[in-house]
Amino acid sequence: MGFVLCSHYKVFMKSAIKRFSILVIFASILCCSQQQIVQVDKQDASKCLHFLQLGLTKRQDIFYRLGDPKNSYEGGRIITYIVSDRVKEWPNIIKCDEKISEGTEGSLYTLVLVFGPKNQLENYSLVRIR
Amino acid sequence: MMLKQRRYIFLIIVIILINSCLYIPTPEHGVGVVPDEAMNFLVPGETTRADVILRFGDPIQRFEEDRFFLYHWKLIDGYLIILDADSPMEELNYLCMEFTHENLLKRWKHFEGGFWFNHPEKQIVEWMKDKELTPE
Repeated sequence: MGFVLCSHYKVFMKSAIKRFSILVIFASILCCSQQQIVQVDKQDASKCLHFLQLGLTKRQDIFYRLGDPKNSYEGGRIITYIVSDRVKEWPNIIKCDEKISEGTEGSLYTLVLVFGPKNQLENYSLVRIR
Repeated sequence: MMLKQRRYIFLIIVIILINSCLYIPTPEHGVGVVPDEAMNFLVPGETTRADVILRFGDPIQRFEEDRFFLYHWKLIDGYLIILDADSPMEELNYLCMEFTHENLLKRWKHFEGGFWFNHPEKQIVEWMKDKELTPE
C-alpha cells in the first residue's frame, strides 16, 4: 500500500510541477502585456492619418474616404471608427457592421473625429483599445 | 488493517484534492484598462463629452441618450486551476459618467466590483438613479 501511495504521489507531483511551470510561463507572458487604453501621441497619429487636417477636412471627405462610422454622438458632431493595424496599409477601417471578436488580429484603435459648426474637422485622436 | 487502509485512502484523496486545486497569483493585468492617472483628467463641470471620447474612445454602453457612459474592463489577479480547468480570477471594473445637457461631465465614479460573485451592477443602477445628484 505504501508503494502505491508513493507512486501516486510521484505521478501527481510530476503533473503538478508540469502544470505549474506552464502556468507560470503563461502568466508571465500575460502580465507583461497589460493593455491600457492609451491615446496615441498626436504627432504619431498625424503621420498615419495625414489626410486629416484640422479646420480643413470636411465631414463629407471623411465619409467618402472611411465610409460609415461605427458610432456617432451629439447628433453626429463626434464620430468614431475602429481601426486595426493587421495589414500594412493604414488606416484599415473595420466596417461598421463588422463584428470584432477576441481573435481579431493586431492592435485595435478607435479613431475619434470631432467636427465644428461648419462641418470642418475640429479635433481628432487615435486611442489604442487593444 | 481496515483502519490503516482507510487512512491511506483518505490520504490519497487529500493529495488528489491538494494537487488538483492550484491558485497562481499574478500581477494585475487586463485589456482596455483605464489607468488611475487617466481618471484624474475627469473634472466635473469642465471636461466635455468630446474630451472623454477623445481620451477613452467609445464607451461600452450608453444610456438615456448619452446622458450616461459606461466603460468596462476586467483585471485579472491570478488563475485558479481545479483539475484540468483553469479560471481567471477577474476583478470587474466600471467607470461610470454622467453628462449635463450642455455636454459637460456632471459626475463620475469608478466601481471596483470584486470577483464574479460580487457584481457591482446594482451599485451602478443605484448610482444612476441617485436623485440628489441627478435632479429631474
